[in-house]
Amino acid sequence: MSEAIVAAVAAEMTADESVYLIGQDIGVFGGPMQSAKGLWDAFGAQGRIIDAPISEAAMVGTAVGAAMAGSRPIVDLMFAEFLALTMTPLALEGASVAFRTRGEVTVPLVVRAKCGVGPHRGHAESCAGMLMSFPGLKVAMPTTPQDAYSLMRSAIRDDNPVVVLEHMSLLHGARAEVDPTIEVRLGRAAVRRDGADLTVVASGLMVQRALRAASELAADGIEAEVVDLRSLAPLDVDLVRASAERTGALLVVEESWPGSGPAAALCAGLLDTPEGRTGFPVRLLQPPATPVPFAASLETAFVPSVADIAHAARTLRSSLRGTVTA
Amino acid sequence: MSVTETALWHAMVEARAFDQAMCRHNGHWHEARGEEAVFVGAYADLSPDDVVAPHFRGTCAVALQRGASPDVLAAGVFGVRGSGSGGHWRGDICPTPGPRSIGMFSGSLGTSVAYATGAALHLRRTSPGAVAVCGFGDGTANSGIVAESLNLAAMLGLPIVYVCQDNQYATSLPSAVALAGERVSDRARALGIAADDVDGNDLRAVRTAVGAAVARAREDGGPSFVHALTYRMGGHYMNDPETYRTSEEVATWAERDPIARFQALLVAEGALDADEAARRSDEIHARMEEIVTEAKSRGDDDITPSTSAFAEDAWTDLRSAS
Repeated sequence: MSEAIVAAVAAEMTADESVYLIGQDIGVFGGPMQSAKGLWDAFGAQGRIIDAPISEAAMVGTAVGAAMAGSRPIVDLMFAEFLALTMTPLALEGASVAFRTRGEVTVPLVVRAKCGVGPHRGHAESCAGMLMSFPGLKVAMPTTPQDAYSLMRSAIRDDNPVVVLEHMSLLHGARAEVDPTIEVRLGRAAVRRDGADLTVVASGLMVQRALRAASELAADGIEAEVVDLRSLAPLDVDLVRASAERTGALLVVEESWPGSGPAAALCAGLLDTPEGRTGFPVRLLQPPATPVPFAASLETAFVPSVADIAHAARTLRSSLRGTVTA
Repeated sequence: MSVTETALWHAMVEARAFDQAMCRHNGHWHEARGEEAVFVGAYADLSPDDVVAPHFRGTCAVALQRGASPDVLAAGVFGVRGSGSGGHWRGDICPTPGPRSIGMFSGSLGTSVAYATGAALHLRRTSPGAVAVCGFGDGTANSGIVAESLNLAAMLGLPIVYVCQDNQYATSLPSAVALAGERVSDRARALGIAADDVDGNDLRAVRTAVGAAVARAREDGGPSFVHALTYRMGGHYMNDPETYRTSEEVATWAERDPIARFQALLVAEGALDADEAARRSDEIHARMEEIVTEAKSRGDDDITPSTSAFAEDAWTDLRSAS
């Protein structure tokens, strides 16, 4: 997935001179976890790869200013836990500009941020809920190399600020060929596995775990449909609703904190109907409301596992037996 | 293109007239009286290709100076029919946002310094010779993002001039207390940024210092910092009890009023006739009073909300509305 993201950045930088990249250690070093591999050689001499000091607020702040003036900056923020340092320029203000000027001034800005539990111990916080709280800010979270390429390209071409959350357990995971002609619009979820018995909706690493859980469930005769949100903002509530109405039950699995976040936003969206209720039961599987713990054993317990997802799915299915559903 | 000193006197009087009319008719206004030489002088010699990011105290005056209609500005301040943002945002701190004009998009101070720095980065990449001029107060000078921005500008050699409009008070906290160190300009010097300290109530001094800094930036000489010491004659906002300073102090600074001072100079040098100046000043004040009262009395019947914050939807809303 990492190479697909870099390939999309390189393709857009080649196609559009207004695109530049700024971030820490993205020069000859090649970016943290190789997030900018090869870009220095291709674009460094043009001054379009800016190796930045540890100044997250100014990296994003200058990018907002450059974007309003006509550039299309990409900020490699390294880790999503640094996002909180940038929220005034990025979210409170940058994401408000199009509304406040009625589209006369826009902020075409992409912020790349790595997150999630995984091989890189620490830095797991995605801060997804914080990002989703601000109107005008888009948030994408790819889970496949193809989506990583296509969503990054859509993000760079978008006239709104977009945060691309790059899950560290997926960045250097399964490899796959990427078709650069495939378009993926921001705000569109995808069905990763068809099933008739319940819907499991997830994002990031939880999609991969939901798919593994679905395989286990299939052995028991339960066919789970797995939906990958791909974008946390806007949320594709319609696709999730249509899937859950078809299967009759919805399990929401999240790695990010409970409270305000993808699960809560999805539930609010699903309840926004003329009837004021869903026609299917909804269960949430989320970490506890604590910071991400450090010890490997604690971190493992914090995040929903494949077994947790399979168990929650079975429980949800069994609760439906004997009841009449819509 | 050279702006005459008489035109700059006129710009200062217009700035004061708009400001004072707002003081009379808008309880939320932040008065800029006494600081005109800084913001009129700093933005006097720029071209339309240059980026301006004025301090909020004086931002409407800079918009006027760059050709904005006082009628539209006043409507924007009140959020009524004819507002430049269609009532979507505060016209007092963000009067004319655009690719070459930066305003405040919340009440947070300091971020616009980063925006101006980013705009300078864009200019260096796309429009060699163009510059950004960025104003901010002594209070904002202490914001972390300002330090980050200055360092980035120095590191990248960006074409930007930072103008610290030091009116000696961050609301109630004196800059003499809050700006640790001898001179705030030393913070820029420490980063290798060319810095100057000027009398902010002397229009010529501000214009000369900023002019030299702008010329340096146009020739790829990197960023500069101008510290202009002035004085906020009014409160931070209307109805500020001003318990933190003495009337004697205010009276002392009233003696140094930048407009009276510059006007006396022009009259002494024969560039302006005293009676003519008084007559024109009265005319400008009466005109601004008329414009501001008219705008305040306007309805907001043509103002309809955009329903989405996303750029493509804002455009769609705009298209469907027109």
